[in-house]
Amino acid sequence: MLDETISVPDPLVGEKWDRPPPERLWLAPVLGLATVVVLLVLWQWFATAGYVDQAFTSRPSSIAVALWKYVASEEFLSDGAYTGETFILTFGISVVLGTAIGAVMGLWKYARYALDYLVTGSYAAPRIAFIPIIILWFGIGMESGVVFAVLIAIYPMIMNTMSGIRAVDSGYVDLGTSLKMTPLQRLRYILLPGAVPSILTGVRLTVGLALIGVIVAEFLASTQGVGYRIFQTAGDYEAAPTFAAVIVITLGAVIFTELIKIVERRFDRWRLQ
Amino acid sequence: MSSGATPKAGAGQAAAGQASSSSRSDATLKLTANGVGIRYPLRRERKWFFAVDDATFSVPRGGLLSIIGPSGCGKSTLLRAVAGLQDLYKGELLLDGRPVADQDRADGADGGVGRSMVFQHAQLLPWRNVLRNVTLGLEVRGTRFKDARERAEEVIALVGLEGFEDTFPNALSGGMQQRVNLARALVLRPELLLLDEPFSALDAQTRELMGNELQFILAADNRTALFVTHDIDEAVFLADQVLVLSKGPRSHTKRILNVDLPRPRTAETRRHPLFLQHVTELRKEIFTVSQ
Repeated sequence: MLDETISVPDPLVGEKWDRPPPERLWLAPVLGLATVVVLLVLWQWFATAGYVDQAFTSRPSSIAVALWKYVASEEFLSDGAYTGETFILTFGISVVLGTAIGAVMGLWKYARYALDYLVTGSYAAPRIAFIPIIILWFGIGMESGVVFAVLIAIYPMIMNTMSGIRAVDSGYVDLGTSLKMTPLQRLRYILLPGAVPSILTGVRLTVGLALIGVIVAEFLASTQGVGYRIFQTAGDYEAAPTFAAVIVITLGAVIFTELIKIVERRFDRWRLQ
Repeated sequence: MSSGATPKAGAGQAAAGQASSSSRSDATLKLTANGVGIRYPLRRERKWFFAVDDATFSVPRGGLLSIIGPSGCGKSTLLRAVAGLQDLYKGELLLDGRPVADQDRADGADGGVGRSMVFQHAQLLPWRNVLRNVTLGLEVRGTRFKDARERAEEVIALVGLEGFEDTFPNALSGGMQQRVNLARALVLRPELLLLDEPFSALDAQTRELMGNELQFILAADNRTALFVTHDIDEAVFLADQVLVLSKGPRSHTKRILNVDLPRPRTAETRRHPLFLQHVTELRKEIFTVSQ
């Protein structure tokens, strides 16, 4: 009796339970899009029914037409190229210069002491107040746009690189010392890679701030660009083209953010394993 | 950093070292500590903390010295001083008869380094896989990557991690991480290996296993080693000599015990009457509070 193996039917080992249920990956984008669509439909309906004044709010269908016209126009190419170039320059300068300044401040405490008041002071200042001076120095155009936008966008790079480097576990620094690293090797092999998560957070913040800086600079110190187009059409009480230009900016930002995410994944490979 | 001051101090110490070395025929001694004192600053209180006050011992070439003592006695600090991570404020620490501070850039024979450290916590760089963690020290020294990879693969196999070269540290168990830690130190072919409680974070089974393996790894190259631990059994099991530090702060050498157990040491060793006698004796030594 005791030698016999008693097989008990296990209700959980049916065909149905062979694999865990799949994660419903489609749910997030579908719900996200649904919200936008519902809002657009409501807007269109309110506008057509006359609950809101179309002169100020326009409506999705008119905006779609305006967007189509804008994208097909000559101005779109020149606007896009101008704003795109200003943005790329701003972003590039902010990331490279900000990381460099942050690295120096993270590495040497004397550099940190020396630059502390300058950085925190200029960060706290209402930087938009510098625009008149910047226009005075660099005139109307891309140069003042880049200068102003870098001033807006560079701080998260500086702060995050610095704090990221300072937060690297002192055990890793000991490891570097015991492997006889020079200060530059320590930066290359330990401190910068260790600060990557923090630096990437800075990059993400910088994308948003650079875009704000570029658009604001185009409002105030430019005769070209998508930001200038927004300011101009809104000034002419043309709501639909204004919204169209805003959509162009937004889509551009979304595409750029997705590109940045690809770079992030490249740096985060080890975390995914 | 203090490049101006170091050579002078070094020259003085070197002269002293040579003088004492001739009197004690130091040729067989790998490491000598004479009245070593180590302090570090407590910045907030603006005071010095005197961790070690008078550590004296020597290790012959190829020997293994275990350092034990009550917690807080400065055993890790002493090891860090040998590694060059901590300055001395008195005494001398001689590696091959020359002060340790002078040897930060010196290379050992067969392209190896003077000494390398196995850290208490593995300190593996999480963004580097096992192979790249092991090659790190070679990359820093400018070894061509092809050669570095070859040497690393050899050592990775030696510590029993073959096939895990491409794995990242966060996917490894604690024991495997410590194996990588060991491999990273061994790949530099150090003449002196410094182990700072390397098994303390491991479970009892893994610790015993790693202890057994470590003696073979060390014996293979006649490597000198300093082994800091809080585990008395482990200290006796591995060592030729056990150094007992007194209670800290201001600890000093309290006792040096010679372990004459046959090698290789096995599970049998742990039941050897002499082993048990040593362990009992050391336990008494540590827990008796007589300064």
